[in-house]
Amino acid sequence: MERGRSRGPQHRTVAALADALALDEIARKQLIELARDGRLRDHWTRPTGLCELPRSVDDFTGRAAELAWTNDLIHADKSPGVAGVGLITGPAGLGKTTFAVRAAHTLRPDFPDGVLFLDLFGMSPQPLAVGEALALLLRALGAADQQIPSDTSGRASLYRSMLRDRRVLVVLDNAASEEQVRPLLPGGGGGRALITSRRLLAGLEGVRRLSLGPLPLLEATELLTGILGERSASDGEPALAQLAQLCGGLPLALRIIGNRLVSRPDWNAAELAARLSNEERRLDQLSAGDLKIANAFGMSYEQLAASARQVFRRLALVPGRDFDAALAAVAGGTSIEDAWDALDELVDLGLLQDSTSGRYRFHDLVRLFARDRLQEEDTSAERDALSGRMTSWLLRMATTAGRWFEPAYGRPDRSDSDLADLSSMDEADRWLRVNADNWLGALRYAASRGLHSVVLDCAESMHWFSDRWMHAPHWHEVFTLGAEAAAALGDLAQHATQLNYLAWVHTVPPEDPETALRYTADALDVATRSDATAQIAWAHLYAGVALRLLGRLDEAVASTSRAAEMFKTTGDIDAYCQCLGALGNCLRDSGRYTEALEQFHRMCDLAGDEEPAMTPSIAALTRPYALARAGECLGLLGRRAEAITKLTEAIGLMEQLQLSGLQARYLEVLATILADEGRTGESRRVYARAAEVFETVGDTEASGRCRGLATAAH
Amino acid sequence: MPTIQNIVLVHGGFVDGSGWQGVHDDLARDGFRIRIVQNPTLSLDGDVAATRRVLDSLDGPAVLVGHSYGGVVISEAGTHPNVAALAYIAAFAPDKGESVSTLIADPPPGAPVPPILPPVNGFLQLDPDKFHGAFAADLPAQQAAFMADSQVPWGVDALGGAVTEPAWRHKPSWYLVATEDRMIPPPAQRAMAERAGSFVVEAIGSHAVYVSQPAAVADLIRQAAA
Repeated sequence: MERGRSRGPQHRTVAALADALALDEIARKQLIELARDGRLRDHWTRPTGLCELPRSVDDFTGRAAELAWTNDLIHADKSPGVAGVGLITGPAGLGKTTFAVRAAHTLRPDFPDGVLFLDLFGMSPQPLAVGEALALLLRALGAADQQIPSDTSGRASLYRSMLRDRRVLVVLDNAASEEQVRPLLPGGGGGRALITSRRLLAGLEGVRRLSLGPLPLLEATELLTGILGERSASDGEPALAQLAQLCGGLPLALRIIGNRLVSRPDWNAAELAARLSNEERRLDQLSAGDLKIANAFGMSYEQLAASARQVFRRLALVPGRDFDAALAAVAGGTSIEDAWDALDELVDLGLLQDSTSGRYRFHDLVRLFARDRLQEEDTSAERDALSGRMTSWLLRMATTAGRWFEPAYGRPDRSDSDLADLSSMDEADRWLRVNADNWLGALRYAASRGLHSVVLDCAESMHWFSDRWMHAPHWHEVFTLGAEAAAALGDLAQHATQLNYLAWVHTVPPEDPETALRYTADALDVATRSDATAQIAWAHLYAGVALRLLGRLDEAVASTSRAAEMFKTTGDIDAYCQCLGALGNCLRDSGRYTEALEQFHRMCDLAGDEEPAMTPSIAALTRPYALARAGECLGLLGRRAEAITKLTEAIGLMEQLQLSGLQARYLEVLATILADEGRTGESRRVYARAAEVFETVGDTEASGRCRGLATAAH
Repeated sequence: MPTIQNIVLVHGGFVDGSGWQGVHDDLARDGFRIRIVQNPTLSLDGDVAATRRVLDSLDGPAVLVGHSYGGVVISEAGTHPNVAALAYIAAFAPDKGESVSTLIADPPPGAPVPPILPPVNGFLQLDPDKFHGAFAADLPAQQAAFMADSQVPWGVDALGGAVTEPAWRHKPSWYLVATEDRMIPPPAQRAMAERAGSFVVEAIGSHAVYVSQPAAVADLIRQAAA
């Protein structure tokens, strides 16, 4: 952990400036908002280097033998079976991560193809899933989203093949288990890896292990002296050495104590050392390392203002890995301004880390300490009330954010004044993504407490958003909780709805059509019992999609046709249109191009400008898709001139709507048809354009293919 | 809880069992039952007998741990039925017929020579002035001075005692390599660990790693007991 220092203008600095300028209330609020936005904008627009190695701390001290060890490991002859993988192990607070980051910086010149860094969150209740870790690494290695396979084994093999010819160092920080790490290790080739873990991971083969020890007294004193800077001279060497000894050579404890001294100049090192050694005598039943750390934390905690102490210990109940100031304000029961003050102070003292994304997190040990203080200082009734408050806030935020994407809701009218402002769809999207583990934790908590209505509301609100973020791993859980809540409430129609969402989850990658069919059968059953016509129709539609994936095309046609009829009867034109698209796909797969074309044409008509029955925003998205599919079918039927017209119109609309992935795909289809038609020059130009658009979405493989075709002789 | 609940610690030459205190305290917090053998280091037979007496008294399986020459003792005594796993801490892991004397007979060129004084009445001592640097460079000078002054004389018979049936051939073993060891060269430690097929962890530490880094030693033992 780095010496704490807020990365933006501190709230209290800005507040003081406002005071000095004698601004009125409105001008003051604007200034504060501006400053806050300024520091957030700085973080948000920074190119988020994927798996980028963090900066090494400026005052890194000692560890020469350890650095030599990693250097040897990396340069050891690569005899067969030696994987060039090092594991740095040891208890918390020893600076495993800081060391691995420093070592990786030192080794950087040996890895021309880069150094990747990934936090595996091994000590959190939800360590990073292997599939997610692989996706992050693949993106960092330059794979485009659409190139990344949906299943873990596919990702693992792509990862191995991408590493085969590269000299890359992969730093896997805070690993949870052998199973989590194994697929992330470079196989043969020039790749190397450094792992940090509190565990020895005895099941990993071909790994050299280094047990990191505490800093020797001399180096510990040196580190403390470095943190203290100029004031170290006045504290004197003996007092600093005594403090270093009391910190047990643990860098985390040394940093906390050092920050404590720097930020509160009225205390000197000798006094602090005396207090620490008293504490140690008082608490000698604790384990040596934990004790030293808890004492170091205690020295900082005690001198916080009561309100900051409250924010600090209550943040221990935040369910996710990190949080922002808005959530800190809810946890602490303070205004957002007071939360900013408390967070600034906590970062200064090294009790919290602020990240480049404007979010805050605990070191694992500090969180344990905070939880301990919460247990000690707040009654169980207070803790329950806090959990309830935080859960309610998170779920109302998530539900409000989710409804941004529901055509029936859209921009929320902010009925709850305590919620953070989400002023655009992008902000809602971002909030839901970065807070996923927070609102999901709240959803679980609410479900465990039997708060069925809020659980169901939240799950229901995710319906449209889930489609926008379909690769997120947690939709199965969200809609399962939603289905259970609906069942508990006896709401059969909603129960069927949630079961249908679960069916949808299993029709998108990684597809599992068999499971999807089980959910549609359940949904059909529940919906039939309650006469929920719409849900009966949806169950038929999702069953049709699943059957098509299974290649059972006749059944798929029957099922989708039935869904289409039902939606037509109920007048749900949006859903009816979706059925036509699904039906068209089935017919096309069966080689029934004329009939397929008919469906896409009907779809085009319904999504046309004059058609009032369809929701305009959905019509706008449906139209280019329907045109493109129709064009493709025309091409398959050999009606190339018509195909070219349809596709050209579709591509124009896609460009307007910035649907680049689709646009690239249909540009390539168009180029093929132009070539078949003998319009070689045009075909080449369209291939070249397809290559460009594929490039912008990061699909280098497709881009290369189209570029090749653009220049090939015909 | 791990299946193995007993830990038996065997010290090496020049020291007694009190150096294990840090390891003892660390493991005791996890509820392990720990016994420290006070082996007299006069002869291998005597030390093996002392160790076996402790093993006899146990009610279940144990991890048998040896430091330095203690590795010879556990290699011989480790065939005892109560030993489930072996842990070598910067220790000798002799094969059949080998002893400390044979293992240190041909030091690799450039390896540091332990400052062992010529035997007096059949006993060896380390040069007290060189003890800190050679045995315990990562301990505070004051502590190393105390260890130098409280040395246990090491019987030459103990150095000559050869192992008859090394337990590591029959039982899983674990090895902590001390990378800054100036008594037993780290390459020799790695080679013995590899020969024994041990699970290896390294620590940046002197020969007194069991005193200076009790957490690393305890971690390895916990793993062996898991």
